[in-house]
Amino acid sequence: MKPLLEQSYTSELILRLTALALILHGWSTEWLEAILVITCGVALISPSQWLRHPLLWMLIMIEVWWMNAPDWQWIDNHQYLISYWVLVCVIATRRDDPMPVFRWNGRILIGLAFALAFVWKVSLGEYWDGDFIRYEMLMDSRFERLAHFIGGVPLETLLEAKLIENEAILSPGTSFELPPVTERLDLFAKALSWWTLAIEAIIAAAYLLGRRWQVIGSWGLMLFIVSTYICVPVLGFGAILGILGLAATPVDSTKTRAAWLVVLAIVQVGRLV
Amino acid sequence: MTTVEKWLVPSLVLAIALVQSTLVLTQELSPWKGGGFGMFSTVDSPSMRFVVARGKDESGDRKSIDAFAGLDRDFRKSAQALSSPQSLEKLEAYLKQGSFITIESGDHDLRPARSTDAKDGRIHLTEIESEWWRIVYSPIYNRVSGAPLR
Repeated sequence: MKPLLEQSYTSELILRLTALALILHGWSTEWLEAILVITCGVALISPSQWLRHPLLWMLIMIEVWWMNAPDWQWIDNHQYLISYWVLVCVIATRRDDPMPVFRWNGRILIGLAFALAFVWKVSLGEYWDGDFIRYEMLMDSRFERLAHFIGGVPLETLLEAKLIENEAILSPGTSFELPPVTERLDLFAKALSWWTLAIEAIIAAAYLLGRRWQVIGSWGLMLFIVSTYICVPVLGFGAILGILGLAATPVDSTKTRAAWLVVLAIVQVGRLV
Repeated sequence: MTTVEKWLVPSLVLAIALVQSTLVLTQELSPWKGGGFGMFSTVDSPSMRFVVARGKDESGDRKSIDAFAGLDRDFRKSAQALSSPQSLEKLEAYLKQGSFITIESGDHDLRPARSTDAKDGRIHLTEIESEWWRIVYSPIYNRVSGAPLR
């Protein structure tokens, strides 16, 4: 483990993890995905001087952007984050020491992503009373276990709720009553809503305010990733946030770097969910 | 670090976020999409949007159409994310160019005919109208309903 955590190896580690994430977290267009997987596979097994060559990352960036740009309306936001990050890799590998570019851009990307997420949640107003989370608990199958075990909602009720939503689609203009929400679910939805607002605000502020606050930001982001992406497994998002978190870690923080590697491994547990 | 190394990517993030928020406000882009990091911020995700489509058959009867049946998956995802009048025009153009099959059971009268469907019994529609709707959740009354998007 020690060689993995050495400062001199960190930039290479970031590049190899980026290539691995691009391989693992699949894409929409099959033939383009094959080309990207091959390119990133080459990057993954390459010796340092090839891995750190800006032309390799320019090629990867072109492939990623070529795949994502036509589908800009419907690709997930983590694919935007990955697109930004491969551009950072191009910029960083043009320098002898890529780490200042990785650290700065990793920090700012995390800060901006969470700041924007926080602003959307606050401005649309569906988090103050837990409305959005309550609805998702009833309807989104990814929240089924939480709704059932923590919210105390019977599985039959969750099925009934989904059928009612379907009826609303098939009978436009007609209003349907949803099954009553348990007090436990209501309380849990409110608590989870406020927790989400708080943690996103803390992460955004900590990363944007600068180095002194970054320790809080790092641990907050690790907690966010581990708690969120195991319950709602958007593994691509967990992976790219983990890589950004690693990249943004200050030079002298070996323990934090180690923690990021553990977090990246834990994210993959989400495959079992 | 140079200015480009420091500010190129953050500027791009903010520029795209600004475009996204403008499209959300003006073109019915779902806040979940478009690079603004608004996912999980609202019930109005792309999957909550659907098309209410109706057509007139040769005897003048109005029939409801399952507009999404057989639709290209990428076009559907794109249209549900950015539910603009232009996407509706494209959908209507796609529906108008083909014929329809009666759905024996289910909640619509017709679906677009596939190439594998028998030629007999295909229905041609003289007029097709469509509109974007979305599922709306009322937390106060604990009710859910479909409502026109605009």
